[in-house]
Amino acid sequence: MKFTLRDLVKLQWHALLTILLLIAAGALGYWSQQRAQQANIARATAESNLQQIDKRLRQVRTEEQEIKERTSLFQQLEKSGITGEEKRLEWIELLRDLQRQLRLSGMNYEFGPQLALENVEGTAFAYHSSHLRIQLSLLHEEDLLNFLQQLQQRAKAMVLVRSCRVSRPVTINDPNAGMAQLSAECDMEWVTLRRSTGVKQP
Amino acid sequence: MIERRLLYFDAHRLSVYLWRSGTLTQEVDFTLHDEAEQPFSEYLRVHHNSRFYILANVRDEAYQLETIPFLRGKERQALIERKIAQHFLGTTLTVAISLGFAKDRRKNEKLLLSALTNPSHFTPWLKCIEDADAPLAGIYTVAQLGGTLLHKLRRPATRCLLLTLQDHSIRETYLVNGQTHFSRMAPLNDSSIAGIASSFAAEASKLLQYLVGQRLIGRNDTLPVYVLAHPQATAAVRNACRDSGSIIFEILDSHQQAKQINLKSLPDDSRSDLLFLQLLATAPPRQQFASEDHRHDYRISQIRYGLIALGAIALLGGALFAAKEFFLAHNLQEETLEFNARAADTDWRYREISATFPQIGIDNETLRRVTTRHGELLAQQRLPGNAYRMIGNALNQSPAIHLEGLDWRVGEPANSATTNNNSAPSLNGRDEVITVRGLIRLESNATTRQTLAALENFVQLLAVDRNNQVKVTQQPFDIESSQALRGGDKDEDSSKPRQFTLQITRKLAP
Repeated sequence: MKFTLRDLVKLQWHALLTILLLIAAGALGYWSQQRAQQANIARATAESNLQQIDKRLRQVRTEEQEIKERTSLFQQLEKSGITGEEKRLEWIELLRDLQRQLRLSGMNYEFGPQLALENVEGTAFAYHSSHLRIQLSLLHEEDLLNFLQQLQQRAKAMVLVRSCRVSRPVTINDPNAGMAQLSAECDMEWVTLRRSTGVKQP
Repeated sequence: MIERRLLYFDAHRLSVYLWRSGTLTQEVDFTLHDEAEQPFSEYLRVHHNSRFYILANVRDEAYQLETIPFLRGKERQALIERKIAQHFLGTTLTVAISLGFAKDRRKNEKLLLSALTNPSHFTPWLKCIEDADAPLAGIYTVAQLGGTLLHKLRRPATRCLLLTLQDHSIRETYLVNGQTHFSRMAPLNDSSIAGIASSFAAEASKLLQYLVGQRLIGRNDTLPVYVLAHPQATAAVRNACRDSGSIIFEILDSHQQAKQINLKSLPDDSRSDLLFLQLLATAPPRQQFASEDHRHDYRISQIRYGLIALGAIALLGGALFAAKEFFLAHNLQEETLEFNARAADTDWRYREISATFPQIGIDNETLRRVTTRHGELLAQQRLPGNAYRMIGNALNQSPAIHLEGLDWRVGEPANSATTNNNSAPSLNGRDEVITVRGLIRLESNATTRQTLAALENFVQLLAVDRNNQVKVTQQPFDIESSQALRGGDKDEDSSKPRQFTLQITRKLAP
């Protein structure tokens, strides 16, 4: 059979109709497949959500006592002043009180800027820390231990002592040193828990 | 649905039948004269989407048995065309039917060549069809359909005669294994039932004589003869057609046979036109007489419907696939709804339980994280008191050792305690590191060995606790091989207190 241009003209509408039918078939298949995929995604999301909620429910049932204990601990933290903004004024008042109370002849300190201890992005609460470097003039090393112990007990923060350097003063006859037999220099972190500002520290 | 229109073509007229679901409806008759072509062309233009089948019942048919060598493909086709040209010169309306191969070594092929030998009879009609672009499926003959008819009527004779009546003639067909080997048309002079009956009987005898003369059958062979007649004529035909020594008649009721081939339009008289038309519509033979040029528009029609069928199948496939996907999507949506309902219920139960907890404005996950971290930090809360007591005890037992300075820090031994103000402090120290700086004061006449022994004793006192790792970082004397060693005969150096430095590393208790 030989095709001529006239034959193509005879076939044009049928060919066009066939193309339209093929396009319609493809579009129908594609559209239905997309719907099925969307439904599949929605189902997977719903299932995942259910699993999370179910897991949370199971956890809350099994860990009911634990959560109550943790809640109690958190309330203690709130009561002890660890939570919330830093109370630096109260901190320095405490330092002076302790100096007076322990009769320490000299004290110099420097609080550093507050830094986040962990990634705070997306978390409601995060631990922050302020570095303290303190220099003390001591009669005895026991004064240092008492001082640090009192700090940990009374400070409205969690005080983590990182280092202490005890040495004899350069000259005992120094008039500023008074009766001091020892000088101490300590580094410590004053940790507080506060609501996150959402800013991630470097 | 493609409409089929059957053109019954005989010596006098062209009748058009519309075939639809076993019902044949005669639409129009064209008498063969000079002006008949114009209305036929008009008719074709109106129905150019139908497919046309020509059933010819004409006198000018010729049959020729031929044997050709065993060949295939184009060579076979070329040889057949040459044979046809030899036997039927001047006509293109031919057909070659293979009757099988000889069972000898050469495997020669037997062919039945047949032709409509008067093409001019058809030419004007075929031209009308071509001009109207009407799809012509093929040209068939009544004789061609004889085998099909007997097969449908379950009359499987090896060799037989079939006599049928068409308009004003009797078609006599000789069949071998269902294949027409010879056929001719005899005019019918008396159209009465008695006349038809006597004509059947006479023509059967004549045809038998002819076949014997042509040596197509043997002189003593017996042939069954099937005669198709209207129910009202069967008795008369049966009376007229008496079996003889070589002929055994079987009269077939045309109405019964019509029902057997699912023809709903029963014939009104003994003519068999409708039965053959029904067979042509339902089971057209594979071979036909029209050339490919005549069937050009039929091929175009096939391509058209092929294209539409392709599109329809694709659409159907798409629809089935879509239905499957919709069903799947529907099931998934139902599952999603069920999951959401269960999630809502579970969430409600969770909230119910949570409501019994003290309200502190913090979710459980955060509470857990905060309190766990608090415990970790609390574990880092250390004082140097233990370290001081451990060193004090050792000093009490070492009167020669005088303490100059004591550095205590939490962290790794290699790291210093200095903290960069701009980076987050690391609070993960697992060791406490104590650096002891001191002097060794012995009597002025003490030897170097005694000085070192005093330090060694102090170190051993510190190392009693297996948790302590004691390392001398500065010896009182530089006696190491890597250092220069100086000395003299004066005792000044030995009387001076000697400095030393120790580093004690202790694992922090959990």
